[in-house]
Amino acid sequence: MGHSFTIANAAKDSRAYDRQFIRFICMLMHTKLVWGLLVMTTATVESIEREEQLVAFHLSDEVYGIDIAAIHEIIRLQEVTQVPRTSDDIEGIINLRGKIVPILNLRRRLGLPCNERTPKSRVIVVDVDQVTVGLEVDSVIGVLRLSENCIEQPNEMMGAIDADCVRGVGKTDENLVILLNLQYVLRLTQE
Amino acid sequence: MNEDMNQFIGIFLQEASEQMELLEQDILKLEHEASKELLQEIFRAAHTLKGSSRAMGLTAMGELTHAMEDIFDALRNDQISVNVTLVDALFNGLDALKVMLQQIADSGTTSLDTTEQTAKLRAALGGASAPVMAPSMTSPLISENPPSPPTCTSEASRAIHLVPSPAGLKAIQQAAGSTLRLYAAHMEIAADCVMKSVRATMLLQSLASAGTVVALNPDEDALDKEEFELSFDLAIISEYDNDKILAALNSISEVSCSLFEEWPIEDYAKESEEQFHVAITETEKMTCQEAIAAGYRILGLRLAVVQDSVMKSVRAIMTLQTLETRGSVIAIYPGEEALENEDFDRQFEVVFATQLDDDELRSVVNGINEVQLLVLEPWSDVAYGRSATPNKPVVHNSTSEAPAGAIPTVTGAQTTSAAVENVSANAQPSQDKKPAIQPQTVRVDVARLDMLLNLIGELVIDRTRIAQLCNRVAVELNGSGVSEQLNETAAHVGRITDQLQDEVMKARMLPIDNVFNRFPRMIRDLAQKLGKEINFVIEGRETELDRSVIEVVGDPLIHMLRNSVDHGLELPEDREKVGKSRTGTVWLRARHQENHIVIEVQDDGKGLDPEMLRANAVKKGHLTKDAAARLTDKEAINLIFGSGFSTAKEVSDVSGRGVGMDIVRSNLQKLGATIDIESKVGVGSTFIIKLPLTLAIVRGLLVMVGDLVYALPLSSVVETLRVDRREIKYVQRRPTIMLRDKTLSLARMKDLFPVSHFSNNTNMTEAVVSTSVTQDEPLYVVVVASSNRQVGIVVDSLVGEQEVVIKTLGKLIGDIRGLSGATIMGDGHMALIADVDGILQLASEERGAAYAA
Repeated sequence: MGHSFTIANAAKDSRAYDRQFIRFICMLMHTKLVWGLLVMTTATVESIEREEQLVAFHLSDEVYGIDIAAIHEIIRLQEVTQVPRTSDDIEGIINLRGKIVPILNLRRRLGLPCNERTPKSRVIVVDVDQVTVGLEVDSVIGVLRLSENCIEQPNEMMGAIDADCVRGVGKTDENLVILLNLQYVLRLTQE
Repeated sequence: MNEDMNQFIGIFLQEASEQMELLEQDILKLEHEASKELLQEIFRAAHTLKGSSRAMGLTAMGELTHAMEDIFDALRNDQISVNVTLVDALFNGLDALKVMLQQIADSGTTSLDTTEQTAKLRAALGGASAPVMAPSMTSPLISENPPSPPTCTSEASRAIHLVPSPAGLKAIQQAAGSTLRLYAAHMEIAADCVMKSVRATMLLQSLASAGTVVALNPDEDALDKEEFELSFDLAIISEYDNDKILAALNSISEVSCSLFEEWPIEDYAKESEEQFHVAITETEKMTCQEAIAAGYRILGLRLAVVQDSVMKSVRAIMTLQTLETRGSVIAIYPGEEALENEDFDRQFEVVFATQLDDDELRSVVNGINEVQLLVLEPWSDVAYGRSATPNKPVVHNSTSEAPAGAIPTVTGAQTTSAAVENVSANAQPSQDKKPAIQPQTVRVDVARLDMLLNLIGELVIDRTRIAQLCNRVAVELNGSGVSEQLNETAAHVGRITDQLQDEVMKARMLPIDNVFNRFPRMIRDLAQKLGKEINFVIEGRETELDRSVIEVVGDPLIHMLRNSVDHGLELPEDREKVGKSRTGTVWLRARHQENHIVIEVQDDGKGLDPEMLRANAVKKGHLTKDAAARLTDKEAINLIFGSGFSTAKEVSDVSGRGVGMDIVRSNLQKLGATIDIESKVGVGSTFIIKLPLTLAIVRGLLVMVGDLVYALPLSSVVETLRVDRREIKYVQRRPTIMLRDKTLSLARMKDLFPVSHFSNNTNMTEAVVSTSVTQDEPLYVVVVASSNRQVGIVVDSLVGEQEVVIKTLGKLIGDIRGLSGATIMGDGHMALIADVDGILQLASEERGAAYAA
């Protein structure tokens, strides 16, 4: 089983996987365990999946997820300085250790009903295309691992929020996680 | 272009553009005064440019600069004189060079065809030099050192100049100690010879039986291609005695030996092993003595580029440049030309004046990639005082052809020659005089300076914050020693921060000449095109301002100067009619004034006519007749800043597309600059630009509006007022007050910058409270102005004055009208930085907005 584990790790790229797999088979040919192990490895191959790491958070009663790679940090809500003449979903700006970071109210941007701020409210600071933005969310759940085959493409049924903002829907044991397409949410793509 | 090349391309581009700038200025000067010094300087610039472009493998550029260099050379030797065609051809070539440089900067290569420019240059050179030399760019030895009259003095043509080829050198060394002898000969071919190259080749073939040819100038290739005049030099090792070798040399008809020497072979062989090839001339010797007097040491260095280096020439030149930063390169072997053309085996030698000790120097040289230091000896002991003797097989640069000034170091040309000039200028050189060693400077990436300024910005913020904390601590600890000490320390930190800010700002400062120096050329071209006679006067070139400002101020100035030349100045005939001199004058001035840089563009032309401007505005439908009539003259003049407003009766390609001044003003305002016009009909106009010293930090007046703090750039704040509410009158439903017998319309900051959307912040109640103040409370009004428009802004309270560091609001928020960014204040809170021009626009749009008093 030790062998097959190595493969599973090294084989994220399918081509690299093929090469390794063939080398592995060749190696096995010289052992007497060929048949037994071969059956085991093929079984492992089927369960090799890409896995996504997400940070999941609550907005209203729904669970949303953002790719963990985009996340800079998660901070508590601090004093926000409003900026006039901006759209409604811009809360304002904060001073993040000497850097000015705009805060986007994610509920309002996604067209969800507004909530009062609670002690659980957080700001997720993300870096997307070199733009740093703070996203105000109701509460942060934590890091979530989702294997790729648990993720479905978005469908018409999403209803309330703009379908383009959604990259897919992930299924976990307890919840459905709406995966956000940050580029689109931040409207950076339109510039 | 390979990787290795890319490493140097940046340096090359920078230096090339510097040289081109220098060339442009000097060529302009050339039209007025063709002094020897100027020509020398021009020649050096062209020469350096040629060298570096060749070293980068940019042959086309090299060719073009070479053609230019030839002209300068001919000028220098009084063979031709300056005329308009010549200057035009030079500018033409220079323009092509600029295009090429741009292409190289963009794509790493250039495809510009320069045959036309080169031909023009050659044509300009014309019949000046008797036999036009074959324009061979690939064998610079010939064109550099042609034995024809243009560059060679008679003594120089007599001396035999030879660099043994590497193989030749080996042969000489092997021959040392044997019976073989070494001869050098200057061969001449009959003037009427039809096939020079054949004759030369025949000679070489016949000599092959007599011995080994170890050196040839020009080289065999050039001889084959007939790229030489009527003579060439050679050195040969042979067992023949004098007579026999002479006979062999003269064995081919139409070829004769005009000068013949025997060189002591042992001397040469030994020298090539132990002694330096490099030698110094008398003038260089004087430079050395000067340097020694000033505490410099003269060293001889033998350096070698590693065997497998791809670009020996670049390495060698890099080495020279590095050395130049640590002292002064006095002489090089084999000449600079040879280094540039990779015409050397791996080794080269340098005579170098420095204050570094041996170890320091070693580490400097070892810091250069792919270059090794083989020998380092004090030059004065080993060979100081030795100068080249005619029978020494040594080429000491090309100094013999350019007696003074053109000491061919790569970058040190200016410095060493400056030293030479010093020597000749002062008959009694003072002992304590420093030799002309380059000032110790370091090139720093602009991005790094920007980063530094950013960090200082942070410091400035923290300094303010610390000061505030100190006050709090003082209150809380009430007079304890700790708080006093803290105060002292904080004050000290504050002072240091101020100094640091000043110094970094200074480091970012450049003289405005960087922008100004491209204008004389532009004015000259414009004047020629428009048939005007213009005297262009620049004052205050040395005024320094921040890099960020320098970069952006150029374009607006171009527009304004063009306007002055095109619309302002009259034609010579018209000027005479009104009793002015034929030549119009345009002044460009820069100066410091308080915390600003003031740039003025003035002309003594016809001035702006307010009546004409009014009529024009009405005609174009910008204003009604009544409105136009109501404008003051000053307001009428300011009409030229409106878009689609050109005063020129005809649209020319110089200016007058009706966008100029509009763009000028908006660009300047983006910089936080203001622009003013003073004009008198018939006398002339002056455009006055007031620029901030830097764009990153501004002094702002902090005002409170609701729970927000705004910073208004102090440069735009005229005054602050306390206004009794009862004084407010309404003019066309606009709140207005009388201020010193003039009306001033008011706008409430809250209306201009509504924070309307629902907010979770609890400040809403506060905001409501602040609007329901009583009639008795005075209003705070800040009067802001930009380009002669002004408005009073009603704010809740004034907070104070502070330096603020401008930060952007970020891409997500984007541009907001009336705001130019945000800043972090000492207490960690943020303030929004207002853009006064935007406020003025917003205020005029707020027309009719109800004013709840």
